[in-house]
Amino acid sequence: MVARRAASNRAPSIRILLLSGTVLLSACGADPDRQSSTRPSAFPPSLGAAQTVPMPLRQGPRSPTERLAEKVDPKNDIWDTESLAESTALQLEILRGLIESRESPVIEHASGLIADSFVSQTLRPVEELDTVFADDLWVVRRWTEPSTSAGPIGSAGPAESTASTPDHLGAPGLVDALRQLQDGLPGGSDIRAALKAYQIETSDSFFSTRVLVQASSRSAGNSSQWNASWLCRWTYPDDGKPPQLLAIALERYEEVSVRQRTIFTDATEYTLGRNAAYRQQVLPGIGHWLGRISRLSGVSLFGHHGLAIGDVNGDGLEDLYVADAGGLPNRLYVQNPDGTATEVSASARVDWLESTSSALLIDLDNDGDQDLVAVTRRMLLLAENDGSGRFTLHKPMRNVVASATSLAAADYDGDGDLDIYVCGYDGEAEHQGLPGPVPYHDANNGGANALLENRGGFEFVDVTTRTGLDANNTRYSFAAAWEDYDNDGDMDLYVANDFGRNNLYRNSGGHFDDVAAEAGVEDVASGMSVAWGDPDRNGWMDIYIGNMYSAAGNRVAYQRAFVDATGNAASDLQRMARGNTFFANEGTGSFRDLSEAAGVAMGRWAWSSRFADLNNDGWQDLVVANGYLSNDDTGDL
Amino acid sequence: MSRSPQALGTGRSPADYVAGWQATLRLLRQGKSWSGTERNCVFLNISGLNTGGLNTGGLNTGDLRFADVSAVSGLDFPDDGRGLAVVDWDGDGDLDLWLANRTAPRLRLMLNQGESKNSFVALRLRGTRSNRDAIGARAEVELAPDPHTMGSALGSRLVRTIYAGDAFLSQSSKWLHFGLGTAPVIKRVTVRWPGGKRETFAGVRPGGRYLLVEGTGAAVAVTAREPRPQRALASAPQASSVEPGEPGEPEAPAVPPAPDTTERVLLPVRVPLPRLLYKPLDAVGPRAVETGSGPLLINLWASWCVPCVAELREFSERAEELRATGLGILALSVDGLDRDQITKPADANRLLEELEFPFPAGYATPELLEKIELLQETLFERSLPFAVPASLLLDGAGELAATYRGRTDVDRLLLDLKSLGESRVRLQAASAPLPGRWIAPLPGPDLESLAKRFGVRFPEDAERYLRLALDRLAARNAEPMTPERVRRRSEQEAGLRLSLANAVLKQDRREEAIVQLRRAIDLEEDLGRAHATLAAVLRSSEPEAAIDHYRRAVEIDPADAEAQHGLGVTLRTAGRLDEALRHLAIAQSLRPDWPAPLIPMAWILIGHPEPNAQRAAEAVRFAERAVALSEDRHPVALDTLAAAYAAAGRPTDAIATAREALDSARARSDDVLAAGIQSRLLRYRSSSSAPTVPN
Repeated sequence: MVARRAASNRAPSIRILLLSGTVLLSACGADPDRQSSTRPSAFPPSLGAAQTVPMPLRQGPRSPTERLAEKVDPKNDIWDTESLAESTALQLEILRGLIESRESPVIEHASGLIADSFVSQTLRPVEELDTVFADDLWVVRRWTEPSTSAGPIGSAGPAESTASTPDHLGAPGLVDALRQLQDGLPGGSDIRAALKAYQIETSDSFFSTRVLVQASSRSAGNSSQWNASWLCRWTYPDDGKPPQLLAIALERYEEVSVRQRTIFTDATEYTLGRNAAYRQQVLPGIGHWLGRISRLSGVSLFGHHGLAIGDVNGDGLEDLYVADAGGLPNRLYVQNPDGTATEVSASARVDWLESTSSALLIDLDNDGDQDLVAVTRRMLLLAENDGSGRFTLHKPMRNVVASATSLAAADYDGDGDLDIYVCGYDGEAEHQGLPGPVPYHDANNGGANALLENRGGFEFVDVTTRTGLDANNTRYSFAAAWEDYDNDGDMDLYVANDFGRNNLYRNSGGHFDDVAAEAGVEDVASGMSVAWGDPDRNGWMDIYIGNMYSAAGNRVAYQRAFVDATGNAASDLQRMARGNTFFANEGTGSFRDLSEAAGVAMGRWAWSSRFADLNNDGWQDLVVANGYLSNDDTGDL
Repeated sequence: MSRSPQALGTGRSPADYVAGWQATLRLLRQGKSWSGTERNCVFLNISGLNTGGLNTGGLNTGDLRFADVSAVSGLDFPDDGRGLAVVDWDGDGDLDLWLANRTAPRLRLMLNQGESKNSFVALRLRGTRSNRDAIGARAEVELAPDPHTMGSALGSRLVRTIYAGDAFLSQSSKWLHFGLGTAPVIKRVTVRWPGGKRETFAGVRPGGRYLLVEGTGAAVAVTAREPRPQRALASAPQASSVEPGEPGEPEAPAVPPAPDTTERVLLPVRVPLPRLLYKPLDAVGPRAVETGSGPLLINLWASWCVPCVAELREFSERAEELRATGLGILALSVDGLDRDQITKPADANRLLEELEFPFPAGYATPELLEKIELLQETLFERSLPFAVPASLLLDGAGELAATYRGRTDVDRLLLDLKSLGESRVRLQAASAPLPGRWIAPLPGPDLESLAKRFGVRFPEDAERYLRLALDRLAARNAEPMTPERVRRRSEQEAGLRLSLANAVLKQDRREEAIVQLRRAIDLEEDLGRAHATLAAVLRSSEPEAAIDHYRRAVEIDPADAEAQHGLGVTLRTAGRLDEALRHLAIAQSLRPDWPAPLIPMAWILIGHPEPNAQRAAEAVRFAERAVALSEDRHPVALDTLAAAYAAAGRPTDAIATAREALDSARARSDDVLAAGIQSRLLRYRSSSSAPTVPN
């Protein structure tokens, strides 16, 4: 109640919560206790072991950065519901422990978690599961409770829901319900579970959260997973006592099993392990280098470096080119017949040290070998392959875009050679990665993208303006992909932008018009990836866009107080945190947003998100590489 | 944190919003996570069930369904994923994945080991009239209807296009891969080449790989390589160590290289230093670090720090060797500068005596440490808390060439000293921790951003960096200039002079600021901030000139709230009250949370030559809002409110509010303000007449 009043009275602070998780930030700086053990009372008489670890020096009463940390602590911000969410996170953590424990859940453990009047629906309605997919390897079973899943969560609570399944009461009931859930993960010795509250609404005497719950287990011949959405009702925390569960209602439940321990196996070490570069450059993360390479060399916290597949020496085996940070050489790995790969970047003369975001292996001069295009922050590098996998760098094109991100090539004008589209992020190198987009949900003040037309002889000309691609093209673009979406024979272009509307440029005779709005594919969100495919097999190419999913953003942006405070921008801002987008091409020039209906929105903080038929059944599946910044400090922003 | 502005205005983001981004960035650089350790997602397309997995025409829109199979796929690593490329790397007929990560391991090859009985076909297209890679070409594989299922009579058509670059920073294989389900029969394969021309290819069978050359109409089988490497992979002992671990654990890669505890960084370009002051052992006052007479190592240490002492001892023992290179060492103790004051400067002194330390030494000052932290922020993406031992290696010209975090290895130091004399190109090459080739010289440090960083606390250093930047700009005058470059250069110079003016203003050098601002305006007449800053400087001495410059500033950028406010205040002083009120109101609407314009607005109404009830009521509203917005009910805002109450005929409220204002002013030791309030308070008590309006 206190929380609710506070939340509705003050002006909202949109940005930090929309983007961030909720865990509190501890004060920065060194831990004084860590020093005391190594600190001598007088200066040391002898030095013994070569101790070289630097000793942090704790200065002043409170550093500016500590004060800064307080400012972004969600508990100091105005969304007091974030404090509530945080207090339930600790309880959900206990619940996770109960789900993961193969020892039958113990009633004592459950009792601190729940109120006396606790009631839960059956969390695994085994009688009501439909088999929605089955082949020789996979089985998918699903339950849906259609009545409650869509509405605002404060309105209809578990007590009102019309459950057809029997209720479980009190601590024994919770233990029962969890035991049944464990039955959904047969065979495996270890269960791994995750629970995340992604919506919250307050009422006078209780508050409710929607919680995403996933659990999995693996054994030699089987691997299973279930995915659920629960509506949880909580008591308010009181006198240092955490919130207690009043009720759990099941909203969504799905069970997957596959007759194998795992589908994918990590073969990185087998493939690359014999190269010195494996230990030097593959095993350490970007974080390793941030204190070892100066920013002046072009290393960046964000780690936006990609890769390209192509056969550089014409032996029929695919090879791999990897872009890397400033001060770290890009690498070319050439595949051997046994599937291993040999690192040859120096002899191939492509071990460039400039910070490189993206590269393509394509035949730029139609002579039958794979040339190399790479883009650094401001230079486009064009290297000609001599046919054996050795490259000659042509004169770099400077200032093509500022802070370049992705590359995408196609023959836009149908003259038989490949042209190159270069995405630019913001105009200033100083804030590479985190800019000042204005306004946040519809920014058009970034760096310009460029279309470069192939004139032969590794000469390219900027035709962005001439082709009409200068419209709407300063939107902090992260990715672009060419495809003929209207099946008229020429290549159209979709561009994913970080802060707001994306572009769909329709090609008519070499001139482009941004038709994103009329085609219904603006997708106001944080676009970071775009890929085309035909997962519904109707011959019209559909779009999958990698966006940001933020549980905190969902929690905040859907609350009434937030909607009241932000007015018309609220729905746009809600979209910013929704997750990935799937647009089905209807073949009429417009697309339909099926992200949630098809169940492919929750891709977390997504980067590359793409189609691939992983089980060879002819139906394209989706893979999402995600995660923004995992650093050594565990207090997630 | 701050809300995003809703409109772009003239291109400048409002300062607090930008500050919000920068605050976030700083926390990230200190090692905070942000949506970290998220597990990759995989969604299985389950739309095909009712047709046996295949052999239907397209779905009706809306019938598409996926299941979340992230965990069982084995792909749900908590890596910070970035790139993702698809390729049948091991040639076993299914799609494998290469992932590029931000975190360790930076690369993963994930081999698809699904034991499905489903078949496939792979096609490589080659253009002859079209581009040779056939990027943008589309292949359609039409399958015969399967009598066992209820597929459409037309059978099914699978469509795949060849792309070069998609998803994020990724390019997948140009082989088109078609999963075909169980026991498929291929009826027809059609290629639609870029431009739309269609061509049918004969001879494609399930389970094979084919090359389809434009204009030939016949698919050529490509033999799979031998031996099939997936067998090697399955049995290879090497592979076992990176097999996914037990469920429930993040599958860690093999042990990464042991971190070298000393972080030594040779900079690729030299960085000019701020002025560094220290306290010599034997003198009271601060002294500037002397640079420019040969290379110098500034070493920071504490007597309580074990590696520091080891390092000092090594410096002592190898003093002759070090001196022979011409290197000077300045060892600055930080004893007594830490929060807990573990040791005192005297402890440092005792240690130096015991070691008979042969190099100059002294005590670091808090400002010196602060400046070194600012330098580190400029130099590194990861800002680490300051720690000892730490050293800075300066070249003969006094510019920073290398930094050491942790104990300096003297042998390493001797090598680094040699590289100080190297050419710019070789220096840049030596700075990379792994060998490779640079294509272009790196630009020097951004002096303007150094100036910005130092300007908050150290305007004299900001000034130094800005003057250096101006010198470098002038040096580039010799280069041939296109009109475009002349324009950009003049824009840059104007910006630098504006910043310089701000830096010298902070040092109370008003005349110098005026000179710089006038030169900035000469260079770029439409630099609004230069006009606004000049106006603020001139406000008291030349109000009319100030008004002119303010007017120009708001003409250039009407959304400059500070300029609107300044103009309003200056107009008010000049007695042009209506105009003043108008600009103050604009400032107020531009920054609704800013109390500053509300106060003069209220005073204008309070002292208006034609007072009336409506004006008085409005004054009360403005003043109340100012009080609400001001920090801790600021006495100036309270004083204004008291006067507004008095003007509105509410003497009791006026007296109470004035008292609060008085207390608050006294608490802040603001005697001048307190005296003013006191005299006004007397007047509220004695009569109901309007108070004297202060400026």
